[in-house]
Amino acid sequence: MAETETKEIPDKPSIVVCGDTFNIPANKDLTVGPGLVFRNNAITCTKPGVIKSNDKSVWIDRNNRRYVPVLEERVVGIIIGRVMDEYRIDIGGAHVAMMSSIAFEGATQRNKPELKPGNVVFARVIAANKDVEPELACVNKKGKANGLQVLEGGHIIQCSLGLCRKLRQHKSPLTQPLLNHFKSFELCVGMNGRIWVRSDTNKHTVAISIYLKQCEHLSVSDAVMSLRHTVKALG
Amino acid sequence: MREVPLSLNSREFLSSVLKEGLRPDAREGYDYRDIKISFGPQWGHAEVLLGRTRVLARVSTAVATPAPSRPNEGALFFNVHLSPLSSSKFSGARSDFSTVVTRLLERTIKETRVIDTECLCIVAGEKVLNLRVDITLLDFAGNVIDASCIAAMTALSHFRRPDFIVNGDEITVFSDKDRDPIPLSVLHVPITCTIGFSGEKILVDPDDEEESVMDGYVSIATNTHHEICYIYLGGGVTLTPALVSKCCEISSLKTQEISAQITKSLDEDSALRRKAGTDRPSAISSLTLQEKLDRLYVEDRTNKRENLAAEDGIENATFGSITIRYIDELDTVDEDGVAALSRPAPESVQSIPNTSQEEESFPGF
Repeated sequence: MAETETKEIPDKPSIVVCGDTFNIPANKDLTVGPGLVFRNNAITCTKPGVIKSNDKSVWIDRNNRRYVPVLEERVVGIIIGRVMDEYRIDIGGAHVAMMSSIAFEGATQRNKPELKPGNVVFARVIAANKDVEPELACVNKKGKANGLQVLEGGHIIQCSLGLCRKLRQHKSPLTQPLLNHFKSFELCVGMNGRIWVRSDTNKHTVAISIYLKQCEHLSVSDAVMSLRHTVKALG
Repeated sequence: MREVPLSLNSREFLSSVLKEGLRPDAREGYDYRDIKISFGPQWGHAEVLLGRTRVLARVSTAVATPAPSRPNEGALFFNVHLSPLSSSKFSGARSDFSTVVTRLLERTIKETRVIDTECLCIVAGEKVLNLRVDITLLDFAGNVIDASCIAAMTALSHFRRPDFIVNGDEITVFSDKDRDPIPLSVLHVPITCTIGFSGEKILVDPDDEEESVMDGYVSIATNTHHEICYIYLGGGVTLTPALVSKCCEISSLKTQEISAQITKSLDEDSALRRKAGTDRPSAISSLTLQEKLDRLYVEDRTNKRENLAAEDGIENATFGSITIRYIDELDTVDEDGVAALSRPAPESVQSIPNTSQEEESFPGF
């Protein structure tokens, strides 16, 4: 294999492909993030995308639709069945995830939620191995729910993983317009490309769903304009 | 990839949205989604985008022996392939639904005699030109039936069949280079309109979310002459005569709009081909290589082309007038049908001068 020249990690975000290598910076400790691998005394890209770095870490941003389970991520899962004491949950990955039926806050064998195929849960990934089925739980390490729960009502929409990451940013520019337009609504963004939306009226939920789907392809200002049109059209 | 299951939450939400009289994508009234029609480089290659449902239709011909019951008619075959790349629902194998769509297209297009198949007869009882329409679903987002019908009708109206000549026992089917292919004779244009039902509500052009919760559907094919060509009930609902009547009216209205859009896109494609000179492939074979290359990049070179025409360079000098000879004028045709093109046209034979400014109306509309 030909020797590739290693270069410094670029300051500005730039496009990289698999196989690009970078020198380890001498003066600081960097955390090597998704898409990059520390190998042979250099940092190698294993995924194509845009390489970004800040003081503490370097990572590759990319957008895709297929979810690969990662430990500690929050996902929106749909129950598809039950095997003895465990639920089989579809999270959009290669394997069907499993969740113990008592993995809820304050649940015991006698007192636990009875879920049916079609119910929706917001859970965290507690085991993610590429060879084994991922495992989920609706509690954190201390046994508290902390937002993880069975989701009632609302609507689920599919989107790309990149959009989900953008929505989960603190004070994301994508969710600000929703706060301006709607008095009350709930969004549950799973890292697996699924968003659960609930609002006080069906019209609001429809408008929010359409807005989120359009955020994939339109710029924020165009999506906001379209949101205004939709709200006006729905009345 | 596994299909995403429809959650109970979504199912309930969609049902209640439909009950309220709304549509999940905020469409109003009896609106169709946006329809975009595009063509490929070959004749008979049409791609239709209905909302996000994408269907590709290709028309091709083959010389074959006719069916004994119809000795002087060419046959028309349909084949619908619901590709697995369109949705995880489809495995690629022949399914009930693909049979439904194929049969629906056959009944709407073949049995209502949209194409004049007698024109496809080469030698009665022995050789005919068979047409085959291959429809592939590339993206599934609901309402495959309408998208397939629009694609099939557009492709058939766009298609040009090879010209042929029968000289005693010899049949010559010309390639595109030797003789310009001829459009099919499209007698009427039926377009299906699929209407879903959810309780009392009518959903015109249901998308995939609506299809997952609707009770049933009906597909009504009408043409621009307000004739009903075919009605197919998708099951799951019982319809009252008043409701069927209403759906027929909706279908008629939608057919007018969609037909107009098909005509417009066919005209635009014709104009584009005329500018590039690719509407007359037999003319191209006599051009030099540089001239052929010039014609490939029409958008950039429109100005250059007009300048050339002004100089009376390319257009008129290379090929004179193109003649179309009818079969009953066999005595004026040489054994080598190709050579006849270079001879000047005798007065008795109709000739079409090769000017790109001439307005041509599209047959069948």
